Amino acid sequence: MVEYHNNSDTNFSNASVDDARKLFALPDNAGYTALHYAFLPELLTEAPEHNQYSYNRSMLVNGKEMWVKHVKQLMSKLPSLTSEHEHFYAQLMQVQGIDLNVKSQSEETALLLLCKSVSADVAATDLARRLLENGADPNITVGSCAIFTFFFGKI
Amino acid sequence: MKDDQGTTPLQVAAYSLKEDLVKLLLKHGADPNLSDRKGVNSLIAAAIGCLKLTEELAEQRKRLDQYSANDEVVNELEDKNERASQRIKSVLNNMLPVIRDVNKTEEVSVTAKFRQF
Repeated sequence: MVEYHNNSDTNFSNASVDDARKLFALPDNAGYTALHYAFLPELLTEAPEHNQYSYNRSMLVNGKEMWVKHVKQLMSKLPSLTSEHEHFYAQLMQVQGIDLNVKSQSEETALLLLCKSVSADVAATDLARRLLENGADPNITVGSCAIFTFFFGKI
Repeated sequence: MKDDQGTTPLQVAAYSLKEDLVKLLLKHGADPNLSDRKGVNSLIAAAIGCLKLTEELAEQRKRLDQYSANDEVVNELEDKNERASQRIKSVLNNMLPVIRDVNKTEEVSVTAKFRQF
């Protein structure tokens, strides 16, 4: 699914904020970026306690492990951005210039994924707050017809 | 960033009757008056969500009546009904003051479905 996990273009030994930004912007085949994966409802459901450790374990499934590893590896080399005790989402938000409104191929933003999430209201709301407080656009729209099925499938 | 075809996060949250998320989005400037290409704004999305939830609960009630469920199961459903009612009230109370046109109609047959119901 993720084709670029062996991509050696990124030089981790000379990691910089710019590298982090580039890596976070890399989409997979479905157009999902690291930001989308961080907020995928399925992953949230798998980690109901919603702490950093269960969340990170959940990320290491379904062939995404190498890609996620690269993201985390890069972040660990950026001392100003990360520490062991910080929450993963807080780290994500600290990568300056990351596009919080990036859309997947099916035009889903991270905020939209959260709104569709089946996870507990409290967890989804907390994550949505992080996105909105860091500049995610609440009025962004999705053009995909998939959402209409979502609305009208049973009507 | 309106592309005049799409659906907004607020519409999705309203449809799912996620009261805290609806409040949060409104606080951060989400516009409930935006409509998707089928004319569905956030209030209509919430109404569709109410309809769906009410139908589901009615169906569960019907099943319980059919199978003479015990008191515990019936009470559980009553609690579910109560919580659903609170969610619906909360979402609508937050939405109504900021909706410009409460009489807006969608361009598909959702209203007809409501009338039947």
